[in-house]
Amino acid sequence: MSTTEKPRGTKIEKMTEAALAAPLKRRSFLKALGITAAAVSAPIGTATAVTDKLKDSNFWETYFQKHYKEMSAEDKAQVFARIERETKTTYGVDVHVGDQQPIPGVKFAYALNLSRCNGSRRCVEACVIENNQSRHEPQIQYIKVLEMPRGTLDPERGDLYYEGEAVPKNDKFYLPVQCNHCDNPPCTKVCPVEATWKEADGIVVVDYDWCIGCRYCQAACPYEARHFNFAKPNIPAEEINPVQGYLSNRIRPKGVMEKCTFCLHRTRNGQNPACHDACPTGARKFGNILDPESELSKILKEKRVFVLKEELNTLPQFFYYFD
Amino acid sequence: MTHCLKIFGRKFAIMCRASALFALLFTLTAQAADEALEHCTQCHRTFSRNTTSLETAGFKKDHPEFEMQHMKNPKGCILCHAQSSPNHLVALDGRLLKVDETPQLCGQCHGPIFFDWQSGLHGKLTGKGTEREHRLLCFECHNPHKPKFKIMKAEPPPARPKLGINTRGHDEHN
Repeated sequence: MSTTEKPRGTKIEKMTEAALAAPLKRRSFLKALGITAAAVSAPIGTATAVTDKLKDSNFWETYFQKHYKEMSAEDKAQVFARIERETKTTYGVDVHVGDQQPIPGVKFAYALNLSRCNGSRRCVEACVIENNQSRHEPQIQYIKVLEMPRGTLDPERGDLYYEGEAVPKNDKFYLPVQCNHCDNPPCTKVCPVEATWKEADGIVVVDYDWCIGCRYCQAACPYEARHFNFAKPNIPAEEINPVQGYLSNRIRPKGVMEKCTFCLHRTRNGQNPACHDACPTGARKFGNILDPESELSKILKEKRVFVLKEELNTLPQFFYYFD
Repeated sequence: MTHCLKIFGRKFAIMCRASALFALLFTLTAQAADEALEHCTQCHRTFSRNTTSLETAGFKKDHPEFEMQHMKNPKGCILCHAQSSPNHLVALDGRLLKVDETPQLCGQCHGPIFFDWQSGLHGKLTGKGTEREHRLLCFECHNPHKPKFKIMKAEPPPARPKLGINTRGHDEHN
């Protein structure tokens, strides 16, 4: 034993030494030197940057901001005004941040006809534009359209990166996946700070200013519906959607989670989600599950609907069917 | 078409053809469809009656621009177009139908889809929530002569994640 341990120990020691020595290459040394020199030569500049930050009222407002559910009407007005101000300074765009409330007697659900979906990704495009998602680096898309081979409904066998010169392709069908707005959502249970919860109308939302970016919810979600802002979002200023909601499509800060909100800034005002309106084939149906006359209720009654990963008991409110 | 040429001359024939082509190649609003059928009446006072296929009806010769890919062997235009008044459609029982009654015409063969459409399950819904502005008619999404949806070009796929250790250093993230 001792004879085998000894050489291994020395090997590891050597490797550690090599790893420690690696960052001290000439290039990284010079880089570090440059940074130090810059910091030394401009101490006044850095100090003013810090004091500017401390003098900045937006900084303190963000710091002492309450949880969305604890905000009074005045708090909300102040916070929304601050977000509008920040968007103006960062992107130069005048936006309106609204506070859409759940409508009593309404519980939203979605149904998607897989026989009609042709995989054209128009929903993805519309969603990105409507919800001010980062276009690249990081690229965030709430809807994932999977190209499925025949003989399976396992999302893991789907191809997310298919090229679609001519869709629908023969022997394929398309399975769009987005937030299922589960009635038993695993993502909200794992949040250590209660920054995400299920609203009265069934929409699972995130308070982006309360989120600490721990990404537990991303790990908990079995549908890969949650996305993390690794960097400040890249959105062309002219493409920013000025109709925004605090809990939905306002521009997210860096380092928070975001997800599909059924476009609550639209749906709570009686419109349909952007993906619904963009669908060229009418595969998507959205509506109030509590209204027996709604198209959605009729689909649940008449069509043979199913949900994804039902064995996990997440009770998704996003239904699929073939007809 | 040949009658158009004989009677009204070349220019008018081209106009007729262009308007009808526009109307039939693209999906239409009810008003546009009405106008398209009006154009038919400028040349056709009646449609030919004794036909066994589109060839004998002269459809393929006179209107090569219309692609007919609906039924396997349609027995001429008058299966759907009213023989005596070309700006009307005709049901199998001989009832004349206006353009905005098209779903009844299509529903004769496509029963289950017609019932789905009636209850709002088939077709794209427009308008706010449950207050529907307008229920889209069959020809507003499907070309009646070639009802299968066109093959589309999909939007580009998402970027693949960069796998492995980031060798560029952390400062590039900020």
